Amino acid sequence: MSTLARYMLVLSCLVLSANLIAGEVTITIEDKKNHPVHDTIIELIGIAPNKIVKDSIEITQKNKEFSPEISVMPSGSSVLFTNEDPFQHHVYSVSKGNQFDLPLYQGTPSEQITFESPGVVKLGCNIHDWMLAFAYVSQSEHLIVTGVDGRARFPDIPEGEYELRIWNPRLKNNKKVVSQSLSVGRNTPVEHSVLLSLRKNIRKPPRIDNDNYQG
Amino acid sequence: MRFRTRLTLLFGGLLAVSLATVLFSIERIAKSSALQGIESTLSKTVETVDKLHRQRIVSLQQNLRLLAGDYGFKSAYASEDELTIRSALENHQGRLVDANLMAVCDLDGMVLSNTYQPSLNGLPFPWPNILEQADESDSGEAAEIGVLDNRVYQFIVTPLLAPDLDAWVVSGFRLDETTALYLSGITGSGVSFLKGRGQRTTMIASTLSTSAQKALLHFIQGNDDQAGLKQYRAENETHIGQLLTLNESTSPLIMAFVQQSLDKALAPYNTLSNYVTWIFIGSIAGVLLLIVALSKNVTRSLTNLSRAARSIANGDLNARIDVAGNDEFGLLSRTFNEMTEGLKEKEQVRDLLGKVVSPEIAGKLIREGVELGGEERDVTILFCDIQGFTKLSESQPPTWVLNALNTFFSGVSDIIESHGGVVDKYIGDAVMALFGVPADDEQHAANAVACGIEMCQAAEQLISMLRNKQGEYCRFGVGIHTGTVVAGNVGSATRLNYTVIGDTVNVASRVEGQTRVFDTPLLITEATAQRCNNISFRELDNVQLKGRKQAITLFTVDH
Repeated sequence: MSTLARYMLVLSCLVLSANLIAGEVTITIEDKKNHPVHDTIIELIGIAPNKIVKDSIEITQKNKEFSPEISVMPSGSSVLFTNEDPFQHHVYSVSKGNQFDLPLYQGTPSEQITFESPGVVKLGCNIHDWMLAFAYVSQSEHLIVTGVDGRARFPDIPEGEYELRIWNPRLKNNKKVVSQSLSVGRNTPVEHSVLLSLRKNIRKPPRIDNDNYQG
Repeated sequence: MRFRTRLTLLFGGLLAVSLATVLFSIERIAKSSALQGIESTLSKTVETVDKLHRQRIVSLQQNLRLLAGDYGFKSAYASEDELTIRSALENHQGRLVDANLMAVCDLDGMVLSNTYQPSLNGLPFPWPNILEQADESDSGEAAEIGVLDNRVYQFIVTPLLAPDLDAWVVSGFRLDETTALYLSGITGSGVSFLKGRGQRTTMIASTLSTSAQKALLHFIQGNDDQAGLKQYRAENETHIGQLLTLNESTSPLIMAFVQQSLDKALAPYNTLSNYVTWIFIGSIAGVLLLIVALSKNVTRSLTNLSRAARSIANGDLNARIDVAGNDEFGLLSRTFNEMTEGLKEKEQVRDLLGKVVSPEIAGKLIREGVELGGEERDVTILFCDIQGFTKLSESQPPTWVLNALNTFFSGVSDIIESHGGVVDKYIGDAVMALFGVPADDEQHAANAVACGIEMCQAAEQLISMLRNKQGEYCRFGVGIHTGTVVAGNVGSATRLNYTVIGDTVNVASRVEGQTRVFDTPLLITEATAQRCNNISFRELDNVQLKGRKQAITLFTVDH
């Protein structure tokens, strides 16, 4: 089971066990051509203290690629960057609040990296420019990834004011989340649509493989 | 117009036209070829300038890409400390030899840091469309021209990938005199950078002198059409050049004008043209001299020929032409001399023949050739005799006799010829004359009678000298008869006479003999008298001539 699936299962259990019955919130994400946008992270951050649980996840480097390419984790979670390639990697991030640098290493590094700041963390390898992964550091238990219909349905959101955070790796400025205010009333379903300006592709350096090299 | 002048004008004109046509064609082809060469060279030079400019952009872009990927630079960028970022930018600008400025902009187009001016930080990048171009391109890179503080820069944008697009790195180099000199040094052409359109065009930088820049600017302000080659005058020289647009989407328009001196490029052609012109003039002069000399030679020959022909026409058969050379003129002169010699000989023969026979007979013999045989003709025969001359001559010296006869014959002959008759022969002291041969004469009878009358009238003078010391003188008799004779050449193939033969001759002779009987100097037969309508005759008598069966009637004329 992937990290993202496991995280969604935990969140669902938390929601089902809640005592407060509130309204249903449905967020629909579309691009500028009104096509549904799937795999978009939707997070609702309320005023009440969040009930998040720190996690410990693993991101591997194999065949000069990160796996998984997108990870979602509560703030304070730790990540172990395991190198399964026969050569070294130099994993780094220059994302604000979560900068780190793992100089050349092979296998399992001695330290785990903790992402404290909520937001987007871009992960790269200093010697393989095209290696790219994202970590979304959340601060709320209300987090869903949109399906193929571009919708994220939160069945029970307590009444109150929320910050709606939306992020997709194809956002034109994907190092920031899109932030909006959202009011949720008592037993009142909320339907909210958001238009995103997206790139066709994530702009990153092209992969270079020396197929002609025969050792 | 003289032949020499016409010949000179004709050949000189033809040569001049031919050479002028050749010269014009050569000049036209040479100039066209030279201009094509210049245009081709200039076109390639403009391409080279364009390529050099683009290569410079590509080179800077590659270097900028490497620097943007530098991990240390990414770390400095991640610090979000403006001083640190600028320090890194300055460090990189030092590595990029061509760069005059560097900047980092975020994905919203705001300047995070730059090496040009602190006041730009935190503000939108002055040419956001360059960043948009980069964002829209597949490579994430762009190059465009922009103006900053009235200076023109070639900007290059490359993405800062950390590891995906996180910011934009901008670098730029100025289009200034250094750049113009760089391009000029490689291509050997004058390079100028211009900004704007029409009358608002301004000079950014140039390798030209100040006055040439002004002339160029003035020209471009009135001729900013991008296409085609352009020519303008500056510093007493014609320059040819072409405009090259350096920016395609941004404003203002930035152009490069690449030029060469047309005069210098055409110098080899002009040298060739001068050579050809001098060759043309020399050829014309030389050929004209040759034509004059040749025509002089020709006209001299023709003049000599004309002069000699005129002399011959005037009867001077001794005229000759000096023969010079073996050419056609020499051959003509030689032939002319031979012809004159032939004429002279013929004339001598005619003259001699005319003395032996009458001129008319001589002419006939010369014209028709000398052949034995004859033809029947109707003629009138006149006999004239000095009666008593034999007796008179016996008492005179032979010389006197010969002179007296010659004088008589000359006078008689003149009278005969004046009436169209010919002297056939002298027989002792008699003369036989023919009328109607050899030339046809329808009035031969009348002419013979008129001749006889004149002879009688001149008898006094003709025979006045034929007196002896005793005062005796000779008588004079003329007999005329008309009839058919055979006229032709009589004799052998080597010696012959033109004469007439027939009974008519005998009758005429017998009639002359009857003048003594009738004591009248002129007797005419009836056959003759019948042919003379306008003459009044007096019939004398019928006589029986010796050797004839029938008598004939004789007439005389009172004169």
